[in-house]
Amino acid sequence: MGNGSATAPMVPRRFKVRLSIWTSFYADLSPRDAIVRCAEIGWKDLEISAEHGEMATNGDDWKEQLGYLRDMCQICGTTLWQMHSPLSLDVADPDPQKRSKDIDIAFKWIQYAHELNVPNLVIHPGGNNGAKTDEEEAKIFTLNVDAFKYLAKVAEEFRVTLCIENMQERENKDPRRLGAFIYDLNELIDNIGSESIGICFDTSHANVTGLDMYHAINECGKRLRATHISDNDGSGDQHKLLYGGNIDWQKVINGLKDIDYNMAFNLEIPGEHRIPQRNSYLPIQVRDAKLKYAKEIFDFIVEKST
Amino acid sequence: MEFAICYGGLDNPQATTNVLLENEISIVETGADFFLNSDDEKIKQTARAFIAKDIAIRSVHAPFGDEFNLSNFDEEKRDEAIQIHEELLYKTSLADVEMIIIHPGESVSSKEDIEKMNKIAIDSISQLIGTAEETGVRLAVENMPPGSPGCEIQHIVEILEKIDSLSLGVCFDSGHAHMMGKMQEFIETIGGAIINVHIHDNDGTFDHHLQPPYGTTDWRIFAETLKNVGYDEVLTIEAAPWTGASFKQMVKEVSAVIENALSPDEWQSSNANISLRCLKCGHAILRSNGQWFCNCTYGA
Repeated sequence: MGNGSATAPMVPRRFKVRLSIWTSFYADLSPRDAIVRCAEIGWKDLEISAEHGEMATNGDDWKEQLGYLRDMCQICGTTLWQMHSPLSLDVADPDPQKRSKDIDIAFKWIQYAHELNVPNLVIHPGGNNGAKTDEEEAKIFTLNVDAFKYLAKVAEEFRVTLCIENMQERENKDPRRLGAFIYDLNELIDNIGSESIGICFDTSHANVTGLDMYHAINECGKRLRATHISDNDGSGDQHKLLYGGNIDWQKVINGLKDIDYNMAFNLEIPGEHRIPQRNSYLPIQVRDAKLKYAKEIFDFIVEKST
Repeated sequence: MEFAICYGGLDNPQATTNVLLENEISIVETGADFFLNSDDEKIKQTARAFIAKDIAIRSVHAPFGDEFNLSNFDEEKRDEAIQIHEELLYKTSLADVEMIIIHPGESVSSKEDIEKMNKIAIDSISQLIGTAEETGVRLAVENMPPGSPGCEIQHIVEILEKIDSLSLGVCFDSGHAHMMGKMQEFIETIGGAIINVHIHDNDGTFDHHLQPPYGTTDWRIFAETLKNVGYDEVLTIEAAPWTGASFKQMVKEVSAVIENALSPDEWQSSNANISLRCLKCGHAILRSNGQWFCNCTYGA
């Protein structure tokens, strides 16, 4: 009997991700206009950027604003896979007052994600300034565990997954940054002990840190719920389009296939939407064209993966 | 072991995913109607809503009945049935569905007809297997209740022997095997080919689709034999919750039944029947993680 072996037959895994763009690519548009613009050019899978989240929630009527955006997404047929919390947050800030304030803000953003019907809220691990000593490192870890234990309960209540993002750390150049390695994140999440905590994998950060993409993604495993996809040459966080740097994309794809990741393959490409050396955005038509090009690259890697 | 439930409501993904999350359900099997009656964009959009909430539409039950009979003696009708199954494979692939569940055929009265129909079913499945391989959606052939092709172990073995493809497996149906009185033999023979399990209960005389353990199935034999053949994937509960209970409660009860069947020290009822039943809620009194519970105490 062809299939009568001891284990069930396995079929090769497929590359099942959803190509997505973070709305900051159109940060000069309102959140509503950015969502509509993306939908008009065929991008219906999105990450809501921190600036758009802030724009939508800076008034007392934030619930109505987010409700409006949620309805707009439904009309456009858009799926919001993830939202980025403010980049300045530091839930392990050494200053207790600042730390407490930032934890409160993170609490609010979990509510925002819930109102927007976004399942995954991306957040950086605390300890933005890094650690220069073992004691500092241990302290930052403990503060993170405490903060995320509290936030995980909130996330559970609002049915949002908090996705802690891997950070970058250049060997022998930067202070130790919690979250630069995936084992940092896994240790942190093990200590938090909640199903409401996941991982957001940032390819650019991983490349600067020098991680092997395939192994790093496999280390994330089922905890991977969100991605930031971009390229660089390893020297800094350039956030270019795929093949704009030296990342081995085949390793990324194989890693994602291996763990059966099927959520957003979300482009976070701030290295592509501004005029270099000038504080202005590229013309919107040029950005549209870049996204068209991004789709072609994606189609190429999908074809390559099969 | 993970549990899936059978659930519809794909037309309204937001409400449906909320209900499922409230019941802590992360894997579902659905019917085919939504896929056959929706355009590609709607299917993709619905799939994204489920995946984003981490709920997998793991399997879709292909339609059944005379119109969809893969072993119909009428060639024209059988061709139509094959086409519908083909369309379902394409449509479900848009939603990352792992497999569709197919019946080899419908019930008939003559034993001779059953044997003939099983051979016709093999021909139909052979025609479908290329599409299954192309789309990545597997065909899970279900063992059937008495009187249908696929009811005998040999029927399923024959299908697997004639069609050698990684895209073909078996959806083992506990209720149907219980009616045939061949639970252990069935699992042991086709164990390595099982890719899904339909778990439900009955009294051995009719396909009641009761929630386990409210029939007469020997759940210890079921669970131990399944474990022995190395199946540790999803058990799909193909039943409605026992009276007055939620899906969450149903999964808790079924999970306790399997847990106790595999841990004889904790076994608190006979293999086949419920030894303790709450007089207030009418549910079995079961044990999980060292605690007794029924529907009254659920959530307390």
